[in-house]
Amino acid sequence: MMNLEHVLKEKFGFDKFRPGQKEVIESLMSGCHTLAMLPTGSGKSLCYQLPAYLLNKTTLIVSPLLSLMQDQADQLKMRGEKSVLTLNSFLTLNQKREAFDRLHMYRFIFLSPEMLSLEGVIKSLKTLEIGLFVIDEAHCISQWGYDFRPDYLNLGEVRRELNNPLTLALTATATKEVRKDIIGKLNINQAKETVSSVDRDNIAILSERLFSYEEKLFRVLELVRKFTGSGIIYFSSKKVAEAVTGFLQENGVDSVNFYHGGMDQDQRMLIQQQFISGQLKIICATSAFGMGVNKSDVRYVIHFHMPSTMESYLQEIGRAGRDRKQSVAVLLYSEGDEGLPLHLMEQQLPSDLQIEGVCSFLSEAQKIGANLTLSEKEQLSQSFSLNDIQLRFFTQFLTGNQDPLQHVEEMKEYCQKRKSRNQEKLHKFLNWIYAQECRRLGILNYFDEKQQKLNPFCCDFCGMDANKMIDLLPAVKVEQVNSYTTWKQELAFILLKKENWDEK
Amino acid sequence: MNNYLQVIILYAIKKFQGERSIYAIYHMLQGKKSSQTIQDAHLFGLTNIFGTIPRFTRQQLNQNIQLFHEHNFIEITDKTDAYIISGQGGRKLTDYLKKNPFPTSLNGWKYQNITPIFWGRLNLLIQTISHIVHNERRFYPIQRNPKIQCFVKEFLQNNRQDRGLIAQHLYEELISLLELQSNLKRDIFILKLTGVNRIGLTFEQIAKRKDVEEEYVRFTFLDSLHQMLAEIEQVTDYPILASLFSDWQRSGNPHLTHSTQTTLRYIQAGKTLFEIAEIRRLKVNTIEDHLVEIVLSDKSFPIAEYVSHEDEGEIIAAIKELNTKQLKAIKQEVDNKQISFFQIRLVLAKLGDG
Ligand SMILES: [Zn+2]
Repeated sequence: MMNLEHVLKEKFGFDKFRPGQKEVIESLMSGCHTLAMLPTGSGKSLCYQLPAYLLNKTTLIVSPLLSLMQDQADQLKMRGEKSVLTLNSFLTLNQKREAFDRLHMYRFIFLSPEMLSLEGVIKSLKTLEIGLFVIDEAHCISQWGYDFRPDYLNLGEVRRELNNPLTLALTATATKEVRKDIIGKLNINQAKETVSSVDRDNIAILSERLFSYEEKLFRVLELVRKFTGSGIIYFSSKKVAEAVTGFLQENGVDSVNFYHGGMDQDQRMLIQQQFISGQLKIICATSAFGMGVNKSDVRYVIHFHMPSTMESYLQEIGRAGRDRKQSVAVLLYSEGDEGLPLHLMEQQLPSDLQIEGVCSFLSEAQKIGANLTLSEKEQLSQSFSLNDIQLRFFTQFLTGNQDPLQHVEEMKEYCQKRKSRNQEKLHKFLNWIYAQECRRLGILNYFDEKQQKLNPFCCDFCGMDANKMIDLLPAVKVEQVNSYTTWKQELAFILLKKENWDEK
Repeated sequence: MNNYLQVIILYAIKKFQGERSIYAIYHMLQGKKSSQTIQDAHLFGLTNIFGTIPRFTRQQLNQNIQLFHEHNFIEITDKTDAYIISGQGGRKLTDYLKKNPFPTSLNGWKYQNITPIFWGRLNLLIQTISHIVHNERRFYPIQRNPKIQCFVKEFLQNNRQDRGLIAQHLYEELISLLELQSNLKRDIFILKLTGVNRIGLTFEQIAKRKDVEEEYVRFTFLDSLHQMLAEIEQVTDYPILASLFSDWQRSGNPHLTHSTQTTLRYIQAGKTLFEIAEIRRLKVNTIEDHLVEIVLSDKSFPIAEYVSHEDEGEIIAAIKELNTKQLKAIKQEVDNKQISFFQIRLVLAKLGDG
C-alpha cells in the first residue's frame, strides 16, 4: 500500500491526518463501500479528495445544497485543482453541452440530486469510468434523519444504473438507526462503517435556565462581553435575531450583525464573508447560517432559542472550535421555549386539508408536481397557502405519472409519521435539557456511544460555567480596526500596490 | 414618512395624478415587461424608477397605501384603487426630498437589466485584481453566480497585460467617474467594494454608518451605478469599464420585449400591422402595443404610416389643451371619429415624458 501521508503532504500540504480520515481512506482504497460519520469540521471532504488522486478515475459527488457544492468546488480550485465541474441549473445550455462533451476530463464532478433526475445526465455519466461515488450529507436519504430530502431517495437507483461504483456515504450526525437506513437505501449492504465519536471534546457544553426574554437579552449581552473571539448566536426567529442585534449594538457591542433567510442573497454573502474574515465578530443568525461556512476560530455558539433536535444542536455547536482550541456552547433555555420549534415543525409539512386540496386540484388540471411552471406553482401556493417547504413537498412527492388523488392517503400517512417522529425528537432534546446528568454523556447516549474519557472542562453539570470559561478560552490578538480615510485613498488601498498609495 | 420606499411610492402616486391604480406602481417598481407598464413609464415620466425594486411585493404596497391613507397623505378618487396625493402628502414629500434629494441619474427603464450584471462583474473584477496586486492568490469570490465568475475569468484571460497595469487603469477610470458624483454616492460605492483585507458592507451597515435610511442607501447606490453607466456609454475614456457591459450594448435594442423585437423585424420587412398579426397569430391589439413600445424606445421611429400628419397635429393640440394623458379625455377633445385610441397612444409615445 502506498504511503498515504506522502500524498497528503504533496497534494494538501498537511503533515498529519485528522482523526477518522485515514481509516475512511484506507477502507475505500481496499475497495470497500464505506459509510463515514465524521463530526462537522473534521475535514470530511479530504476523505474523498485524497482517494480521487489515487484512484485516478472520475469522482462523482452528490451534494444537497447548491451553495455547499459550490463551496467545496471553489475550495478545490483554490488549492490549484483545475479539473473540477459543478453541474447545476445555473449553467447555460451551451455550457452544459460543453461540459457534457468533456465530462471524462474532470477529476471531480459535483452535482445536485435534481440534476441526476434530468434526462440524459445518467446516460452521459454512464460513459465515464467512475472511481468513486460520494454522497455528501448522506443522512438526507433517511426518512428518520432530521433533514430528509425526498430527491435523495432515488440515489439508490442511480447507483445501480451507474453499475454499483465504489461508494462513500458521508454524514456528520446520524444515529444508529439512520446509518442502517442509509446503507439499506443505497444498497451497499457490505459497507464498512467508520464512525467517529460525535463528541467534540474541546467544546464545553453549558445550559442555563432563564425566566424571561429580558433576562435572556441581558445574559447574551453579558456573555458576548465576557467571551473573547468570534461567536455565533442562534435564533429560531428572524425578528428576534434582528432585535437582539439592535439591542447589542445599542449597548456598545459594535461588531455584530444579523443573518437570516429573509435577506437578499448578496447581502447575506457579505455578512458571511465579513464574519469569516474577522471583520465582523458576532453573528445573530437563524439556522440558515453555517452550511459551508469554513471558519476555524469560532470560540462560542450561543443558543438564544433551542433547536428542535439533538442532531441540529450538535451541528450548530460544531461550528465552534474547529481549530481544536478550547471553545464553549451555551444554551439559554426558559420554560415554554419548545413552543417555537414545535410551531416551526408544523409548518414544514402540509396539513391533511392542504394535501387533499392540492391533489384534487392537480388531478383536475391533469398535472404532476414535477412539471409545474413557476406561475402554476405560485398559484398553487396562493390558493392553498403553502410555504416553500410545503410546496417542495408536493413537487417532490408527486413525480410519477399516476393521478395525484391516488397518493392522498399515502401522503397523509407519511406526514403523520414525520410529524410524530419530529415531536419525538424534540422531546428527546427537551429531556436532555431537563436531565440531571452530564450533558456530554447525554449526547453520547443519544448516539449509542460510550464515554471514552472524562473531560476536565465538560459541562455545567460537571461544574463548568461561563465565568470559568473566560480564562480557558485562548487569547485573541486584538486586530487594529482600519478606519475609513477618504474615498480616493480607500480605492487606492484596494487597487494599487503599497508603494503607490501615498502619491495619490 | 420614515423610509425611502414610501417616498418612491408617494412620488409615483403624485406622477400618476390619479389616472392609474396603485397596482400600476407595483408593476412599475417591479419592472414588469408589459406594454402597458412600459407605456405608463413613459407617459407619466416614471422611466427613472422602472424596475428599481424587483423584489417589491403587493403586501409592501398595500401596507404603505394604508399608512398613507391613515396619515391623509393621499385621497381617494372615483376610480377603483386610484389615489391622488393630498396637499399634506405633497408637503411631506417636498420636505423629505429637500433633505434626501431624489436620485438624479436613476434610469431604471434603460439599465434595470444590466445593472446587477455590471455591478456583479465590476465587484468581482475589483476583488480579483486587488488580490493579485497584493500577491494574494487565494480568496473566496464574493460573487457566487457562476456566470459572473466565468465572465471575470475570461476577461482576465483575454487581457494579458500586466495585472498591476490593469489595476492602475481601473483605478483611474473609477476615480474619474467618481469625481463627477456626490460625496454620499462616492462613499457608498467605495464601502460596497470588496478587496484585499476587506469585505464590502451591506446597505444596512452603510445606513448605520452614514446615519441615513437603508432604502435611501440602496437607491443612492443604484443612482451611482446608473450615472456611471450613462457616462461610460457617452464617452470613450473608460475602456475597461465599458468592456464589462459591451455584450449587452451589442445585443441590439435591449429595452424591447422579445415579442416586440419580432414585430419590429416584420415592420422593417415592410409588413402591415394586420399582416403581422396574421402571421404571428396574435391579436392586432397586441401588435399595436408592440408598435407603441417601439416608438417609446425610439422617438424618431416614423409613425406617419399609422397617423397622418394632420391627425397628429390635432391630437397634440388636444393633449396640450387638456394637459392630460387620459386617452378618453383626449379622444373626446379631438372629437374626430377617424382617430383611434391606438393613434392617440402612438402620439403620446412620440411626445415622451413630461
Ligand atoms: Zn459533563
